[in-house]
Amino acid sequence: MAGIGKITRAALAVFALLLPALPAVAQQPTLEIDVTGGVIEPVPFAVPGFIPENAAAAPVAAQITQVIASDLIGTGLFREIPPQAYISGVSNFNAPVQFADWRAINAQALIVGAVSVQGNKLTVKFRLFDVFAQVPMGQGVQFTGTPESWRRIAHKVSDAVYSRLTGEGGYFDSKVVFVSESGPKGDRLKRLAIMDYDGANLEYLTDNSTIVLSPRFSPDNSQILYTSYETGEPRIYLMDLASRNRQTFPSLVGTSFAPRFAPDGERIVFSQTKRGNTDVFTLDIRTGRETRLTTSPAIDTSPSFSPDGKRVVFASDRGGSQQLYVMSANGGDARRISFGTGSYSTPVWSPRGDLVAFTKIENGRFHIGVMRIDGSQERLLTASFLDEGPTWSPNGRVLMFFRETSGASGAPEIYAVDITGRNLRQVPTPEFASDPAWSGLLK
Amino acid sequence: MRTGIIISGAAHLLFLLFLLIGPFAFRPEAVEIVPVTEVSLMSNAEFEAQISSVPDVPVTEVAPMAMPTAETNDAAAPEADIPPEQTVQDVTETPSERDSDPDLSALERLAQPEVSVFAPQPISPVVGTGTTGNSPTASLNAPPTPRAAPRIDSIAAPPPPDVARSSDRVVDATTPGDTAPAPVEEQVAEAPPESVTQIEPDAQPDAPPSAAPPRASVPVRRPTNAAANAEEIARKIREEEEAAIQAALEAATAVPVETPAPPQAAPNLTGAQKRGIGAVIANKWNKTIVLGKENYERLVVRIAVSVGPDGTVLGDVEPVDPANPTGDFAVAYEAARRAVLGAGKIPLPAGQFPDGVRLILRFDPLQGIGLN
Repeated sequence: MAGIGKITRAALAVFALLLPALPAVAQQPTLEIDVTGGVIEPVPFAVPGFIPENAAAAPVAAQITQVIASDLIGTGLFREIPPQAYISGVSNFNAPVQFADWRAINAQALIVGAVSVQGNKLTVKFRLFDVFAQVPMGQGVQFTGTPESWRRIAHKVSDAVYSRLTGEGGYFDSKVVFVSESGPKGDRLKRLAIMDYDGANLEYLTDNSTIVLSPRFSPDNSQILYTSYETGEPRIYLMDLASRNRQTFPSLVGTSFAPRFAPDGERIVFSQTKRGNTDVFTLDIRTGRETRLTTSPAIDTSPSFSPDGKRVVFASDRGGSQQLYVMSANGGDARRISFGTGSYSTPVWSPRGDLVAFTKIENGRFHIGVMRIDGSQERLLTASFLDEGPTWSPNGRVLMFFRETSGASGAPEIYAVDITGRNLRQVPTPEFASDPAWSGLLK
Repeated sequence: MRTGIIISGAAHLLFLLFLLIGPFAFRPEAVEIVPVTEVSLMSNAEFEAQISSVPDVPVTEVAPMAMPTAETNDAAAPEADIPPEQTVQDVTETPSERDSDPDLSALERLAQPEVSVFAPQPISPVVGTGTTGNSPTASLNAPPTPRAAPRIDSIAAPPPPDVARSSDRVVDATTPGDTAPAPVEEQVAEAPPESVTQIEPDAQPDAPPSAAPPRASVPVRRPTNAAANAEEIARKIREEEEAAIQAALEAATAVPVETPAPPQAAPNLTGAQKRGIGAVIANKWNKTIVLGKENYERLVVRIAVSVGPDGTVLGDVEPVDPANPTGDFAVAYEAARRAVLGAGKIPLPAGQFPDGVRLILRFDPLQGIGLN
């Protein structure tokens, strides 16, 4: 700088000062606001009729639309905006969506779909849109199957929509096996039945010539275990749903009941009474090897595996009253997890592994409840004359159970309730129904 | 004996009288307070140096005063009424050229010290010996330490140029009798008829004093070495000039970096205004799905959205906390996002945000629960 004259330096300084200043990034002021309150109501959605892309698809397109709407409404989380309120419709699956029209009727979600039938092939595709953000939620999905499987395809569309909106896995494409009852209360005729989760596609698996109890699905949903009195004693049977073939377990002697599959599908856990003592056992289906898990003189029953197959929850009166206990799947010491007043029974481990559902009897009232696997955070979801036998939905969010009314004409019906205790609703069956068991998601 | 008693009684009586009326009759003389002026001694060299350099006194122009007039009264003139002595100046000085003002542009102007009103703090009633072991009584009675008066760092004024002021007058040597003017008859000055009895100077009166008394200026410290100080001052001026130029050049040659302006201080919104904004958004905040989650109480999310001056939501919202919501937090974020996008226009106060505003919205599903 010494070589630069003083005048030159001064001129450079003036030039530097006259340079236009770089425009500063305009910064908006920032304010923080707490949003409190909010509304608790079903999320409004619109599902204009799925577009039949050919004439053969027209009847099934409307049915698919109806099943999707019913599935979402049945969760209690969504509310369908009636088609009469639509401002505009959807005539082409690929046409741009007029979000303003759907926003005007307060639709937060929009389901657009199309159906085509080509011979024995049914194709269903859909897109889900966030109306407020005016963007699609995820990619469009297409399902194909036989025309007879249109309900399952509709349920799968519902599962996808439900999953995107709630972040949870769906449960619509699933089945329920239960005991269908008929006749007077003192002389009930009972038979096994299977249906879609919503009561559709009902089929009877057995006749009503013998008493059957406690049907349970295999992990792959291809078989069921159940207890039958056809020999005069309660015995465990295994039925293949495809062939309807049944088999029993010769190694099991004595009274055995309340069977459930292990998560690996190769073992079953059940209760058996031997020499006047009822304990928990496991049985290897392939080898027939039987393992005793409990040895207490108390009545140990209703075992249920954890999703990882490492633990078993069961009911026992070893403490004086019937309570819930957890032990290793290999047996050994059992830890009590229920400490409330009353008695606990029929424990069922959630598919998520975080909760145990149970039946509780307290002060002459029956309740369906859930608790953490350590026994904490117990909460009762229902209360009635007789609520019993909970079973979990595939996503661990909904419970089914049966409720029997009091009196001489009392009869059982199947009900469903969310784990928050909301959305209690009856599952329609043609006859009386009890002892439901919910399958996993069908593949 | 009797005489002694009388004398003793009289003496006692006098003593008692003295005690009673003495304080009133005999007052002590007031102690004369002697003013003290501090004087500092200087050496002969310092004195010589001081008188050799003529201080640069700024010229103050003062309007010429009117000719004073004598008061006329009926009172008889005093006997010793000596007429005023008139002196005639025999030398007329022509005013020299005023010195050019020094170039002080490079000098940093000294900021005027701020005068703060010091309010003595009340002495703390806390009783304690403290680390010094002072008794509580002593601490309560100790007077507050005076506040140090602000000092003005004054530097001596630069000396005049080397070319000293010189008078253009040339005085020739005179001898008595050669150029002596002829004696002039003494004349008695008379006031002009239009003059008034009261003297009214044309000078502007001083400004009325303010409430606070004028601060006495700290006297300029006398330089001990004027020449050396002058060189030091000039050197400082040159250094400051060069530093200023250097800084400007560096700023000009530096790589421009786009730095965002700091965020403006947000204008305050009233609580009612904030609640109004929150209510509009909450009206569209459907937390049904969120409340169905396990441990929904932990699903608190914060999102950011830019809003235009008219309350229009600009663009999409963005997650703040968590920054990348997944799982159940993603569901909570989507519910909050739909609430903001579905709320329509945000009710901002008119004209308060000409550049719009960025809202950070906090959604806590646990708040307001139960309002089905």
